[in-house]
Order: sequence, then structure tokens, then C-alpha cells
Amino acid sequence: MNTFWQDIRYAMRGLGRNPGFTLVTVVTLAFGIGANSAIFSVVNTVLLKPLPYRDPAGLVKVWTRFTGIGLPNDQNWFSAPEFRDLSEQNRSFSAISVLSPSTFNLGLGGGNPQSVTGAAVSPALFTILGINPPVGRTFLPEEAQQGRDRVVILGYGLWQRAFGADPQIVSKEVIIDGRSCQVIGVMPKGFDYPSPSELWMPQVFVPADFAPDNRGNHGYEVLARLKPGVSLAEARQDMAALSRAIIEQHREYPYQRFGFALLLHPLLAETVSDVKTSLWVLMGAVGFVLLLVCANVAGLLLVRSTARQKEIAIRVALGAGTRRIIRQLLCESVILSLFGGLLGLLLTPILLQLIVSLSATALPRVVSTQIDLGALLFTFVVAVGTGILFGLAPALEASRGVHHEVLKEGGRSSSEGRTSQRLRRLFVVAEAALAVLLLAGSGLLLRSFVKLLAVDPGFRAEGVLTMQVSLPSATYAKPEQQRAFFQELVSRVEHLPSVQAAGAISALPLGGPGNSGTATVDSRAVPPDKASPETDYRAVMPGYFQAMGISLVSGRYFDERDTDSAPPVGIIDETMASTFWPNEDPVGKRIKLGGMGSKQPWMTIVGVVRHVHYRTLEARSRVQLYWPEAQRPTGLMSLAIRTSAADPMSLAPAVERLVLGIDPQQPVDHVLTMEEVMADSLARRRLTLTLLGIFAGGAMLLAALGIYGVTAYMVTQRQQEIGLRMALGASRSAVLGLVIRQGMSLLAAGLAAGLVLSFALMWVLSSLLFAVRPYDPVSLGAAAAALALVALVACSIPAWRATRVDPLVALRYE
Amino acid sequence: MEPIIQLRNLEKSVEAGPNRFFLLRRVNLDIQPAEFVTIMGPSGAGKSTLLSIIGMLDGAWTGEYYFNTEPVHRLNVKKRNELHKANIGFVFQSYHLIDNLTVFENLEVPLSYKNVPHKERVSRVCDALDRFNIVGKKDLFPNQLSGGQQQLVGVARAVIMNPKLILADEPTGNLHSAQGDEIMQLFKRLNDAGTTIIQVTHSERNASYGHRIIQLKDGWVVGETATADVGANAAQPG
Repeated sequence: MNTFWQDIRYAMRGLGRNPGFTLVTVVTLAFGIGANSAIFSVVNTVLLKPLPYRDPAGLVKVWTRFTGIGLPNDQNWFSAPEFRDLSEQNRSFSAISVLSPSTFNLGLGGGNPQSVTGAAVSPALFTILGINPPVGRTFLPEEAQQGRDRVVILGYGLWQRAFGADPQIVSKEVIIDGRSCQVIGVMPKGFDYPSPSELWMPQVFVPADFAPDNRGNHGYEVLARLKPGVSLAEARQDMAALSRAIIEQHREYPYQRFGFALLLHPLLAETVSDVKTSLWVLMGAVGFVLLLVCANVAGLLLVRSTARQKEIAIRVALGAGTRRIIRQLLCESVILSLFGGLLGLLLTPILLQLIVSLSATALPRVVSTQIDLGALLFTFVVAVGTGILFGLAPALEASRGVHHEVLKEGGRSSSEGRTSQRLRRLFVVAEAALAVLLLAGSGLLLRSFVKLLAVDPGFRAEGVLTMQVSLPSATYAKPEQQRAFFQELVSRVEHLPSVQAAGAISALPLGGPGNSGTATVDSRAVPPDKASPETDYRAVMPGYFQAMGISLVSGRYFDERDTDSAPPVGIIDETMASTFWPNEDPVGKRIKLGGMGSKQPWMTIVGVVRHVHYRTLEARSRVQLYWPEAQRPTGLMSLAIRTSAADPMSLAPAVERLVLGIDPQQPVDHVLTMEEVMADSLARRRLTLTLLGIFAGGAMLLAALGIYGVTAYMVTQRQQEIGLRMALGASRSAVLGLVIRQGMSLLAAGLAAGLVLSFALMWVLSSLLFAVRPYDPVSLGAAAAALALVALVACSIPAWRATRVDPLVALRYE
Repeated sequence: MEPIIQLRNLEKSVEAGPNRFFLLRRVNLDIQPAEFVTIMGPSGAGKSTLLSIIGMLDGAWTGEYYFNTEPVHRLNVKKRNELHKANIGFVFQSYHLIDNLTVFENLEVPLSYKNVPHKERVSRVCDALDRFNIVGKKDLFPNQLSGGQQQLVGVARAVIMNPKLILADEPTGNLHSAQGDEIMQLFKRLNDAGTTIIQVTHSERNASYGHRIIQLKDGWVVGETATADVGANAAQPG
């Protein structure tokens, strides 16, 4: 054991006496290991750690599915009647809760009101999650009844921020959405389910919510806890049976045609399902970067072990066995790697900060990422593993040399052995291959991103300011109050200097799911059973389409004629027009909300507008229907203001003043330019692209350094030969060619291996790509070309130096 | 008494393309315990090669080699290494101290390779420092010592394991004559104390410290001469 400590001591001393080598190696390793620790910390927090709730394996999200009408995903919300069916008829859940994420206006005495993100939930939610409030209590079942629902639970952060962590907060009255509510509890620190909630109100259902007409009004998420002993598979069977029962029980609703089904997803899997591939791809990429770092450092160690041939030979002459020599050298490489790991741990928080800042809105749970024991253990294991990985080949090579030759006077000089040279070249080829792989991957993501940015979303985002205004139902209970507020606000905004157009919509494009439901079209072109499509619908104010730059295809936009007393009118998108009124102008035709039997009034179509990507840039949305807000007022609207100001955001304070001028208790929220809204919708892609881009850039640099190192060493070793060639008449360009050919031959091998590797692995990226195939020749070609260019520069430096060799000096040199 | 070293028809060759070059040819040699033998010959004669083989650093040869009756030619690498570690010390012309290690640590290295316990290592290194009068240098690194001092450490390192055999390859080649004599006197004293010494040298003067000179040329043993008692000569260099 004490000889082991001796090895460590000597290794430390040896590294200390080569500060340049040690520094370069440790810093290189630190980047590799630090990046791995950072990505692992994120993967661990987001994907691997159990949810911070009681028995998280028993938590499931329940969704509805409507495949029959081509909805793109398996995660559609519930309507109130469907939630009641599920609650009453399931056999699998011990408790079930509805979740209705919302924005609440919190009134705070003298100060400006605050807009707070929260959710209306069933009282059972906290039992389901096993969350106990550190202060106060959770909802009682009877508090989900109308009249007893003026109770609120605060999030820990909100309690701290808005109430100064008042320990006497329980039973105090606060104003929520204009109503006085009693605070009954404060949630523990970190609890924000459904994320990012800071305030919880009881969800109250009134009889009207369960009206048959409301069956298509899907507005609730559902969380449930499986009964003890019920497996996920059994619960899914139960859901299948229940789906069939609901279809049978409600023949008046076209469930059969909609392909209705109830689906279950484990909560953790669902929370992370969208980001899983991105994160594993990043973990893989950063792992490849570490391999590349290993190859690079192994190359450096091989050169160093050449310089240490004498020392190793002496040790062998003094009785050191092969194992002991390998142990000594591995000890050095592991120490180097551990130092790299330590420095990497210092870099990890910086990388984490970058990742969190890039992905706070894109990755669930990412904000709670920290370097915990798991990450420390991971870093330690990676550091030791890395040290062994990059140290093994050089150690084996060093230990098996013909040592006694080195000790002979005038014996073999310290030149690199053939195996060592071959190994170094192999490492460089591997580096180039890995760099091509990473460059090709980031190239594919970049091409996807560029293609996405080129997608016509159906509106013009530049020059548009948006903000959300959520009118509290207590003070704006009547539709005419809501209508009056928004009409007054938009009219005042229109008069602000630099405003070109202003309007409002119930849910902005790319800002969230918005409302959807069944609408029925009055069209002879489609059979009755196909005339009730699932539709994205929105209330808009005149001026919205102009402000957003949504072109009119036919008919007209909404205007001052479309008042509450005028006949109901609607505007549809071009997709709905071409689907339901092919070869005819739908203007003048009719459409209504709900199924065929719905009592909702028919709306006359007055205009057709371009299709807008409301949900994602990647895919077209459902068919779209708009109605004038004046005819169906709503309390939650987002302003869209087109301005000629260079920075739309500069208009925000003036608009906020107008809001407070109308109602001093009314906050605004989500103040963003439309370009920011679009950018947020691409945050996850941007994160993957940015990180993969950084890794690929680093990989390219390391590969170039590797090629530079081998070429430069070759020039040193062949200095005499080069001098001789020049003495015999070789031109400078011939020498330049000689050296560059050597470097580029390694690159060519690396490129070939990298392209093969890319073909083998690029399918992994398929789900992250948009309008680009995984084997996109442009991306692969660009990756190869970029690396070739950098490698050419890397080879040119030693090649140029070779042309400066003085033949006389070189020939005299020994 | 059995010879400590017996070589029978020992040959070493290397291949160079289609040709084979012999570095040693049919070497037959007996060396008795406590003998002080000098190997001489022109450059390329095979002196250092023979020393490497005797020192068991080179295992690629043919013929028979008995060390203390142990058939080295039949031993695997591990056994050969053990035999080498237990019995043989080396002294080199260029001293070959490890640059990163202090004098103390350089002396400790062979002991650690023989898994000598820490306490005993320290004690034996201290003894050696004392014996070779280099206590004051123990914390210095090789590049802080003169050539003579470095070789002194080299010899101390060679004897610290109490080897039966010391192999010295041009031990004074890099030293001026006074330092060289000092080292040769040291060898003489070690030899007088019973250690077998084989040295390779070009120097007649160094050879005169030994009992016998083996002449090598082109890999062949071409002559063998006994030297007179050189104790007096060594005492009066010149």
C-alpha cells in the first residue's frame, strides 16, 4: 500500500515538474469532464430523479385521445362531463384531481396588482401528491362547492415575495381576481405542481359545466393516483373499457367517429417525454467529446512517454516489473484526470448556469438542477475512468519497449517507436471521426432550425408587442364589463404614437394550447358525419389580424359592425375553407360551436384568413375559427400591437399605464414581443442546437490540435530528411505538399470513419429534425468540409515551418 | 565452488531485412563469486549487449545461462525479473538517476520494487547515505549534483539491495580521473567485501582494478587475460 502512495507522490512531483504539459492536459480534461458533469446533472435532475412526491410511481396523468379527427397527439384535455364520467366510473384510481392552469390577479393593498400563475385544482390534488403544507392546511372537499370556494393556498416563493413570509398569513384575506379570499395554507418550498404554479384555488364545477353541450369543451388536465395493487397495465385495461362505456353512454356525441379513447401516462415519463431524446442525445454527444479528449490526451501522453523512455528503462533496470510500470503511469494519468475532474467541477456550475438560462422554459425541473452527491460520484467515476482510458494505451506502450537499448551509451535515441506512432495516428483518426459525427449532428439540427425559422407561421412577428390581460371574474363577471374593458383599452392603445394597428385575441399563436373543441359546418360538400371537425377557436378583436399581419384570403376582417347586437359572425382559416367548402367561397356560409345537435347559434362566415401555426411552428394546426370578442366576450385576452418603433418593447410601459388608467387594480402579464413568443416556442431546439454546437466546435478544435500535434512532431522527426530533400533541390511547395499530405491523409481516414459513424448513428436524431433527413448530404458534406478546412490550417502551420528548414543546419543537426 | 555465472554457447542476433546480424557469437564464460571481471573491446564488439544479457534486461538470445546454478534460459520473464531484482545491481556511464526524484528517493526506488516495507526502506537508505557519505545530499535532485556525486549515488543505488553481482557499464566514462579513481576504489572495496563485479570499460587503468579481462570483438570472445594485483596501482594512480 505504501508503495502505492509513493507512486502517487512521485506522479504528483513529475506532473509538477512539467507545468506546461500538466496545465494543458488538466484544462483539456476539465472541459471534457466538466461538460459531462453538467449534462449528467441535468439528465439526473430532469430524467432520472424520482418526482418529489409520495410514491411517485403511482401517479398517472389521464388524457383523452381523438385520433379519428387526426389530432396530432395523445394528450388532449378533458371536458367537465368527461371528467365526471372518469371520476365516477373508473375502478383504478384511489383519488383523482382536475387541473386547470390559469393566471390569477393578486391584489396587494396599495401596490400594483400582480399577475400570478396558478391552477384551479380538486381538493384531492394534495392528497394524491402526498404534499403537506408547512403552514396551514390544504382544501377541504366542501371547498370545491360554489360559495365555499373563497380560499387560496400560496406557493412558498409567492408567500416570501409578496407577503414577507408572514407567519400569521393563515386566515388573512387577500384579493384574488377581485374577490376576497382567505389564505388557508402555504405550500412547501419547491412545490409548484402543475408547474409553474404559485397559487392554488379550488376548482368549482356548476351544473352548467356538465351540460351535454359542454362535452366538446376540453379545458382540464387530470392527475390520478393508482389504487394500491393496481398496475399500470390493469389501469390501462380499465381505461379502455371505460372509453367504450363512454362512447356507448353518449351516442349523441360523435365519440365513435372521433376515435375517442382514455389514455394513461406515468407522471414522470410524461413530464420528461418531450425532452428525453434531446437530453440523451446531449449526454451521448458530451460522452463523445470526452472520448475525443481522451484520444487527445493519450496522444500527448504517448509523446511524453517517448521523452520518458530513459526513466522507464532505469526503473526496469532497477527491478520494476511491467505491472508496476503500468501502475505508475496509470497513477499519473488518473491523477491528471482527477485534477481535470476537480477543475471540471468548478466549470460545471458555469455550464449549468448557461444550460439553465437557455432552457428554463424548455426543460421541466431544470431550475432545480444542482451538483449533488450523485453528480459528484458521477464526476469521480468519470474522472477515474477517463484517466484509465487515456492512460492505458500509453502505459502499455511504454511498459513493453526494449528498455535496455535506451540505457546503452550511443544506443537508440529517444525517438518515438513505431507502435507509438501508429497509436497516435489512430487516436487522431478517431478524433477526426468523432468530430465529424458531432459536426454532422449539429449541422442537422442547425439545418432543421434554419428551416423552422423559414416556416411561414401565417403572421408577421416583427414589430409586434404582446401582453396578457386577465380580468378577474369577480369584478368583471358580466360579459358587457369584459367587452367594455377591452374595447376601451384597444381604442386607447390605437391612439398611442407609433401604433399602426392594435387588437386582441384569447390565445396568441405559439403561446400555449389555447381553446379547441367541436364546431359544426353547414356545408353540402361534406357528409353530415364529417361536418363536425375538432377546431381551434379564438375570440379576437377588430384590428388583431391587421396587427399580426394575418392576410385576408376572401371576405372581410371583423370591424365595428360586429357588435353584440349584430348577427353572429365568424372568420375561418383557409384550411377549413378548402376542406369544407372546396371550390366555393365560404363567405356567407354558416358554422356553429358544438356537434350537430348543438344549441349554439350559427355564425355567418364573413371572411377567410391565412392558416396560422397556433400550436407549433413544426406542424400545421387544426382548422381554425375566430369570432368577434364583442359577441362572446372573455376575461382573458392578449393584446397584439403593431408598432413602427424600432423596439416594440419600448411601447410596453405606455400600454401598462393605459391598463392601470382604466382599472388601477388590473395587472398585465407575459409582456413579450411576438418574436420573443416565437423564440420561446423554439427554446428546447435552441438549447439542443447550442449545446451540440458548442460540443462540436470543441471537438473540431481538439481534432485539429491532434492533427497539428502529429504533423508538427513528424516535421521535427524528419527535419534532417526535409533538409536533405531541399539540399537535393526540393522546392518549398514540394515540402509544403509533403507535410500537408501526411496530415491530410490522417484527416481523410478520420472523415471516412466519421461518415460511416454518422450513417450508423444519425437516426438517433430523427425525432429532433425538421424537414431534414438524418442522412442529409448537405449537413454531412458541410461537417466534413468544415473539419477539412480547420485541419488544413492545422497542418499548414508545421508545413510552413518545414519550408523554413535550413538544409545546412538540418544536415548538421543530430 | 560453483561459478556465479556460466554462459554456454550464448548467441544474440538481430534481423535486418533478409539478413541476420550476430551481436554475440558462441560466448562461453564462467565467472566465480567475488570475482572482478572487466569486459573490453572496440565499439560494436558486443560488450554492453553481453552486460544486458547477464543483467537479465535482455531476454532475446539463445544458448545457456546459469546464474548461481539457476538456468536463466529456462526461466519465464517474471522469474527472471525476480532473480534480477534479488541479485543484480547496475551502474551506468550516464548515471541514469531519475531526474524527478531526490537522492533519497532514487536510493529508495529499487527497494520499493522489491516491496521492502517502508520502515526498512528508510533505514537501509539512511545506512547507504551514511556509508557513501552523502547524507548532506539526500534532499537534492540529480541536476544539483556534480557528475562524481551522481555516480556515487548510482553506485549506492546499485548496492542498496546487497546484490551478489554489480554490473557497471563504463562507470567512470563521464568523470574526470580523480572522480573515476574514487569510484573504482569504491568498487574495489565492494569486491573485497565479496560482491562480484563485472565492468565494461575502454580504460586499461579501470581494468587494472579487476582480476580478469575478457576481450570481445565482433561478438566473439577473442581473449582472456588475468590482471596483476592492482591494489597498489590503484593506490598510486598516475
